[in-house]
Amino acid sequence: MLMGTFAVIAPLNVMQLESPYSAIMSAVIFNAIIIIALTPLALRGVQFRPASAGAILRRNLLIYGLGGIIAPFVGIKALDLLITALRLV
Amino acid sequence: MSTQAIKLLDRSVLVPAFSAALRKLNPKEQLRNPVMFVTLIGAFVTTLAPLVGWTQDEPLSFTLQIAAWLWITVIFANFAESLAESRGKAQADALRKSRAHTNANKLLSNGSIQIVPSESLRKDDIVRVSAGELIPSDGEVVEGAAMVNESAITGESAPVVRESGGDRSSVTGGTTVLSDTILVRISANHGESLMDKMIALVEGARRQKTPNEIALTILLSALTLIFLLVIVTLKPFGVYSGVSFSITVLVSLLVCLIPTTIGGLLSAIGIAGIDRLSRKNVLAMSGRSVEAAGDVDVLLLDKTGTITLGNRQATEFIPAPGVSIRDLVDAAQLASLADETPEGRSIVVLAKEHGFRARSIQELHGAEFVPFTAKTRMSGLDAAGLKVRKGAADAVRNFLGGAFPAEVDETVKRIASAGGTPIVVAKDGQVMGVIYLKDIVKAGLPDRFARLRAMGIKTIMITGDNPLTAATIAKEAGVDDYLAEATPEDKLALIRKEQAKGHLVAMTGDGTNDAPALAQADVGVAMNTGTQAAKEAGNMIDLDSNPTKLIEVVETGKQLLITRGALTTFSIANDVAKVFCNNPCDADGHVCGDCTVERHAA
Repeated sequence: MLMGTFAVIAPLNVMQLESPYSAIMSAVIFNAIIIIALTPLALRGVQFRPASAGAILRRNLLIYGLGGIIAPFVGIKALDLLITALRLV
Repeated sequence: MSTQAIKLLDRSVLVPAFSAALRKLNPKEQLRNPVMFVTLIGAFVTTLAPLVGWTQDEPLSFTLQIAAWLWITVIFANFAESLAESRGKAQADALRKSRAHTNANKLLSNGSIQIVPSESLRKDDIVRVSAGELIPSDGEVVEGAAMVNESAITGESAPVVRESGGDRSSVTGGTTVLSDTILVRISANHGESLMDKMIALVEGARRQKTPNEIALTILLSALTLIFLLVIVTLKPFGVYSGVSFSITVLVSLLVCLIPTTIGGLLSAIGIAGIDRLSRKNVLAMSGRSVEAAGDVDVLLLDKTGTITLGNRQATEFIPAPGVSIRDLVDAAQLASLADETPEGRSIVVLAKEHGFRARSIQELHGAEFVPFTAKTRMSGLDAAGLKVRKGAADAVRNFLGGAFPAEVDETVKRIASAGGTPIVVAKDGQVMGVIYLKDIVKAGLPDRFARLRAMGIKTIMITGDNPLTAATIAKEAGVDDYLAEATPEDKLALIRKEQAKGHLVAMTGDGTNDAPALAQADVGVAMNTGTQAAKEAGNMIDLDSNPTKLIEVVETGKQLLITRGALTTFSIANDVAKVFCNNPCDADGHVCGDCTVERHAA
C-alpha cells in the first residue's frame, strides 16, 4: 500500500495481490488459520527421530524454517484469489 | 488408567474444548500470554472502530471481517490450549475414578475400629484393609502382607505383594486387596497425596510456566513490543508522507507481524507434552521435570531389571573331559527338574533345546528332590542308584571329596572371569561338566543405547556386581560406562560428579535408599511399586514400574523441546515472509492509491 507513495519499494511487491484490502484480509485470515492448522502438530508433537542435536536442528530448520517462509506466500496468494473471487471486499 | 489414546477429533472432546476456548477470552486469562493479549486488544479496537468513526472511508464490510478474523485468531489459540487440557482432563477423570469414595476401617487409639468415609482420613491415620476391600488412600503397610490388585492404576492385572517393612510397603488408594488383612498408615490428607497433585497437573489446573517457557515468552513479548513500536511510528510517518492509515489496517499489520502462531500454541505444546507422558503411564510432578527430561544427557540405569532380565540364565553346557555332551545335559536336566528357581528352569529350557524333553519327577521311581540350602549350596536329585548334584564349584568339590580335572577348573575360571556364573554338575561321584549361567541383556537394548549415543546421551550402568562381571555386561549391552559394587552413596556421588561437569542426570529408583539420589538427579523416576520415600524424592512416577521406560521419558521430553523449537522457527519464518506479502499493489503492478491509503492532495 505504500507503493503509491514510495515507488522505490515497488520491486518488493512479489505477490501481485488483487487489492490492499484483500491483501490485508488474506494475511489476517492466514494468520488465524495457521494456528488451527498447526494445533494437531502441537498436540501430537513433531515426529521424533533419534539423531544428534546438530542433525535435528539442520533438519528442522530446513522443514520448519523454509516451510515457514514459503507457506505464507502460497497461503496468502490462495486466500487473496478466493477473497477476490467471492467478492468479500 | 486406560492407555487407550483419546482421539483428537472426538465430539465429546471438541465441544467442551470450544466452550472453554470462549471462556478463555477473559482478558485476565489472556494477560499471561502477551502476544495473544495484543491480538485480543486489536480485535476489540477493530470491533469498536466503526462505532467511533475510526474507519475513515474503508468499506464497513472490510472492517467487520477483519474484526471477526481477529476474534477467531484468539479463539483458535484458546481452542488449541483447551483441546490439550481436555485430553488431560479425560485422563485425569479416569485416574480420579479409581479414587472414588469408599469407606475405611479406621483403627482408633483404643484399638477399636470405626467406619469412616475415605475423605475424612488424615495423614498418619491407621486403617485396616481386608481381602476384597479398596485401599482408601495412599499409604504404607505397617503390619501384615497382602496380595493387591493394582490394575486400576497400572492396567496390569497380575496382583502384587505388598508387605510391611522393606521396599514393597507402599500402597495406592483405589487398589484392591485380594487376600489377607493389612494395616495401612495413611501418608497424606485427602486431596493432597502425590497422585492428587499429579492428576491436577495432567488436568492443567496446577500448571505453571516452565523456565524455558518463560524465556520464550519474554522473547516473544520483546518481538511484539518492537513491532508495536514499528506500527505506531508508521502513523506519523504516513502523515508526513501524505498517506493515512486506518486503525484497521494498522491493527491488521501488527497482528500479522507479531508471532501469533507460537504465541497461541506455546501452552498447548507444554500441556500436550505432559499428556503424552501420562499416556505412557508416567506422571510428572511438574512441567519443569518433563522439560528437564528433554535436556538430560546422562542416564543412570540399574543393571538388574533395567538392562538385564531379572535372573541369570543357562546359556551353555561344557562337558568335562571324557564325558559326552548328551550325558552332561541329561545329568544337568535331572538335577534341575524339581528346581523351581528361575536359574533351574532356564537349565531345563536349555536342555530342551538340546533335544531333552522335560521329564516329570514322578516318572523316576523313588526319586527325591534335594533342595538348595545355604549350607550345602547345591541342589539335585536322589533316585535308585542315582545321585545328581549341581552347585557352585567349591561346594561340588567338597561334596565329591576330591579335585576336579584340570580342564574343569580351567572352564570354571574362564566363566567366572567373563562375568558369568559357573555351575558344576556331578553324577554318581563323577564331575560331568559345567553349566554357564549368565545375565541376559534385554532384547533391543544395545540398539537403543546406540541411538541414545547418537543423540549425545551417555548411559551408565549401576550394579552391585564385581567390576569384572559389570564390565562384561556393560560391553554386551553397549552402555558407555558402569559403576560396579555400587552403594547408594556411590550413586549419589556419581550424580553429583556428573552434574558438576554440567550434565543433566536422569535415573530410576524404587527403594528408600534410592531416595537421596532420586532427589539429587535432575529427572528422578520413581517406580509406583517403590516406597513412599522414593516416590516423594523423585519428580516423576512410573505407574507401570518399568525402569526401562526412562528412555521413553527422555525421548518424550526431547520431543517436547523439538516441537516447541520447530513451531517457533515456523512462526518467526512466517513473520519474515509476511512482511513481503503485505506489499501489495494492484494486479497490473500499478500503484494503488485509493483504497486503504488515502492520499492527501498535494
